[in-house]
Amino acid sequence: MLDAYLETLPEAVISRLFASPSACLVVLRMLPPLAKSIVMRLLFATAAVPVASLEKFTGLITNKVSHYAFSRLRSLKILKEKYTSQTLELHPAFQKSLRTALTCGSTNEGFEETGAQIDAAFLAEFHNERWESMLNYMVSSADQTMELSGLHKKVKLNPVILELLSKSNLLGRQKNITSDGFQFLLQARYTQVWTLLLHYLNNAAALDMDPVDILNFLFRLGTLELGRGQLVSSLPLAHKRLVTELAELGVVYLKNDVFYAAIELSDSTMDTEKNAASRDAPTAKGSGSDVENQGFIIVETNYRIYAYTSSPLQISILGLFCSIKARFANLLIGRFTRHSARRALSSGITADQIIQYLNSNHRGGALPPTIVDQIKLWQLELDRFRQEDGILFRDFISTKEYTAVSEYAQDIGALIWKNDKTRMFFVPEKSAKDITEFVNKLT
Amino acid sequence: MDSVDDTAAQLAKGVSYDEEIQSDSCSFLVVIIDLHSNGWLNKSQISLWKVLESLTVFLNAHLALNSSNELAVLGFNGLGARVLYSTTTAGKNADANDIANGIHLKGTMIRQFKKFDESVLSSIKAQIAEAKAKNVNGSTSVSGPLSLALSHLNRRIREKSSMRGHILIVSASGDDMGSKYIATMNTIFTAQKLGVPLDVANFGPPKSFLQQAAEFTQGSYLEFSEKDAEGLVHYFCSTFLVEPAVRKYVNMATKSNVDFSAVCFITKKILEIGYVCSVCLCIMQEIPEDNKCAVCHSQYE
Repeated sequence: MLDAYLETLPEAVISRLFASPSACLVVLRMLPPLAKSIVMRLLFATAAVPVASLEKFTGLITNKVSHYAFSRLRSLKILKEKYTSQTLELHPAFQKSLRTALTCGSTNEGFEETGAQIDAAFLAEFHNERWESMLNYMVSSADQTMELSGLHKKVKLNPVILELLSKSNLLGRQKNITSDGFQFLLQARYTQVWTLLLHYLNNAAALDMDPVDILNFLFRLGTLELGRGQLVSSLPLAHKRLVTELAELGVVYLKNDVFYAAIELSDSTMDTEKNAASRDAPTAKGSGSDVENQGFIIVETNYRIYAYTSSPLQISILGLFCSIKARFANLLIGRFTRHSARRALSSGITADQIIQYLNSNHRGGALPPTIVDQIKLWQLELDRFRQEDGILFRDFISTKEYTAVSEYAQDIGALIWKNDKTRMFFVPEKSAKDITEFVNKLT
Repeated sequence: MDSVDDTAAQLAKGVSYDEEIQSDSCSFLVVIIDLHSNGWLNKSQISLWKVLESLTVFLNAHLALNSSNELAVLGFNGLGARVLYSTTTAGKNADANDIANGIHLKGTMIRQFKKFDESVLSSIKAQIAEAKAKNVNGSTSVSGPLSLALSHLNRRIREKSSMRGHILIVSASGDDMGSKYIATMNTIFTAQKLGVPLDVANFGPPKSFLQQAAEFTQGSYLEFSEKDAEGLVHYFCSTFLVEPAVRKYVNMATKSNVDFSAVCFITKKILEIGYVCSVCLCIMQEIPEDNKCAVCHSQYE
């Protein structure tokens, strides 16, 4: 997702990106909570902060929660570590831009505002309609296999989006949905939007557009206040085209010469709290944004599932992993079976995705644990062998050293396999560096 | 092999751990500012405007952390406490004013910050002016504003379950809260019960009850003198900005020796050692002459 994409960017590109205060604000919002506090601790520090003094605040870097926060900050290149002096500081461009943003320093980042205003509920509806027609198209392309024919009206999709979907490998050659596409359907809205936007970025390079420029534009869009109109004519030519294509996706709303951000790109919770309410509960319409997420699915411990929906999209998505027993005007009754789950799993959907989807749409508290476990067990049935690239640690001098290091590996969540008798353990490649560092510190 | 049957581990994997450290609940920050006309007159203090400069950056930072974050600013002077700004009510009114005044701002987040800062500062100025004009020196007790803040916060938390609250008290000189001891302690215990940390930025002389407030609610109590003026933003952002959900993972800056002294219910004097009624737990400097508790009228042996 967005952070994974940013992690792959080289230092030079990241520096360019961090020169924009809006980009820094969006990146800040993406961070886990503790990482945000760490950034805030370093932001106005006048000198580099010693590692030890930060550890006093967060607890040892080796402990689980702070290890996660620090590793995220490091991989996004926000945190700079100086090994010689054992100090930490923020990426200079990031620090400067974020200071500018928070102290309301002058930037030339804004768009030209027109003063025109649109109701946020209208924008949310617009976005939902566009986005769902796209998802509908994807689902209907797989309809034959789901015995639900007659459910979908044939939707026509803008060629630009169609091309984007097939370039992103969400749709195959015959415009039929791929296994990536199935996974895409089950993701939260925020993830879906950014997944598609990042594919757009990847294609942009081929179209002679500068990805950093587009990303910066998206970040600026992400810091816009919802419902405020911005002038299109003030934009450079490249961005004008971008705006029309984003309008097709339902990310911005375009009317005459004015555009509005239709969703909050910087808000990772937008799915669960705001859109879900207007998407599934007709009663929520117009009653403001404070409506709590009301799930429409009820799952019982006897593997029955009841879904109060009439949306063809939701029905098709449910049809991906459960067998549908009955349909009424606004109610769907289905059942999880081994067969239905395996069908979904073999088309590339993971157990976690199913569970996540159910969780975010489930009404009233958590899913029954038996169901969660069973779905996972069905997946485990499919892959009895697991293959992972990694590094084997062995030939420890003493049991004490072995225990210390393997426990550390376990603490940071890297341990895949261990054997205490032969003093060996196995970790994925990406964590090996952390562990070698730990071993070096130990000796 | 240790991993022959790791089914249980496989099932448990990635459930609690990831969610716990990633889940990002939004927070509601209430800032209570002491705006007494003679609260900021002391020469050895940092000036109010200096504090407000840092405070606005701090408030911007709070809004920047999470798009669902909300805040309210409360000011109190001798005339009482008032909500100067609240994101729950501000949106609509501010927009209407803007259109009326013909202001067309560029709508990025930074512009919003600026607009918000100006709105907060102007209402603070108005409240100071009001106190000056009427020349009042009423109660400096923090209990009133604190209960206003808590009720404001409580309403929002009830509306939105993922919302957590915290309160920052910006305190100036002025007497301690001896006169409103019971009310103050009650609000502190309410905050404790709601799980709302009370942070204190004290720019005046040491205050024992605010120390206790921070101590009881897992907040931070910091005292600032003139030499801290330059680093004020840093102190604010590094300590008071820590969101309530994160607090259990970090070590907050706290005072090691908190002054736990209490106040006599009858004479309103601050006590180190006193008597406690065994029935109603009220605190007394000395046993009343008639051997009766002054609060619950229990007869002592």
